[in-house]
Amino acid sequence: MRDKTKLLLRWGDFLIFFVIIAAACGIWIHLALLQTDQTYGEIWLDGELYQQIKLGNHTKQTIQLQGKAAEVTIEVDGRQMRFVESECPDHTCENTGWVSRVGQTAVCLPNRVMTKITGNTNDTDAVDMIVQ
Amino acid sequence: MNNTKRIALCGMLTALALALSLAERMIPLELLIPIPGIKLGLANVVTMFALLFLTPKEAYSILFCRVVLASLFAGSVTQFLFSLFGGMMALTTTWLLLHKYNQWFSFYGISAASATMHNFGQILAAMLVMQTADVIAYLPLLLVSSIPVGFLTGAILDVLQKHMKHLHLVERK
Repeated sequence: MRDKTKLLLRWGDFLIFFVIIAAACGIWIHLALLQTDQTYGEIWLDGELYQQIKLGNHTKQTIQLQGKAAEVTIEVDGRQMRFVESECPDHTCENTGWVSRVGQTAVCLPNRVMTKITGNTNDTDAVDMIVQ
Repeated sequence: MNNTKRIALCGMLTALALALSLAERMIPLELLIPIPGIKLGLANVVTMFALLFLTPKEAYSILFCRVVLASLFAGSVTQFLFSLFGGMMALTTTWLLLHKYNQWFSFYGISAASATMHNFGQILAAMLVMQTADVIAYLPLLLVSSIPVGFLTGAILDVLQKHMKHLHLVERK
């Protein structure tokens, strides 16, 4: 049976692709429904809540804090926040860009800093770890 | 194939999988798709190859050794848990789907499904470790990314197994 090697896709492949995309859309829609009117931007340092900012349309703030390895700058603009500068080797956090939806996170692993968006229904005592 | 040869081949495949999983960390895929922990899953080619040419038992052993060694060389306990969870789920999926290879599925679909289940396993492990459902936010993009990744590993496996069959390095099942 395995001698017959063609580069053709079988019908099951399309089923797999369809299921993957459907699952991705389903989760995405579910997350979108979690979105609440009032959101909070949270900054976590080494597993502890460092600061919580009530996000509104006119919030504008730049926060500097000392991470585990170096200084980190976080910008809050309206209902979104992002890492502006972090003196770390990988810059993953900066590349994550703006986060604005409930449940979205951006993490700077070397500095143990995490930003997170929460809504008013979410409890905030859940996370105590930063992970890659 | 006698036992000694089998063991030697398993060892070689483990080394290859380990080298691949360490090498692919140097590919900055995270710059392209900013999700922490995204990778090509090249080591999965080796596990699928082991499933094709050896037995499931040997494939699971190779996977286990690779995950243990990879987290020993570069990683943490959490990373070990994530990889093990993801790897086991991916391998089990591959094994099940391979039964219908060439009838229902091609390597492309199988490795895409395998990559998906790997991501699911990782997120599941992350949810258990961190005791939070927040990490689910990564899942949609990770899932979609497993289609191109699956295509890549599927293509590698497709080419590889065509040539390996002619080499008669191992007896085919």
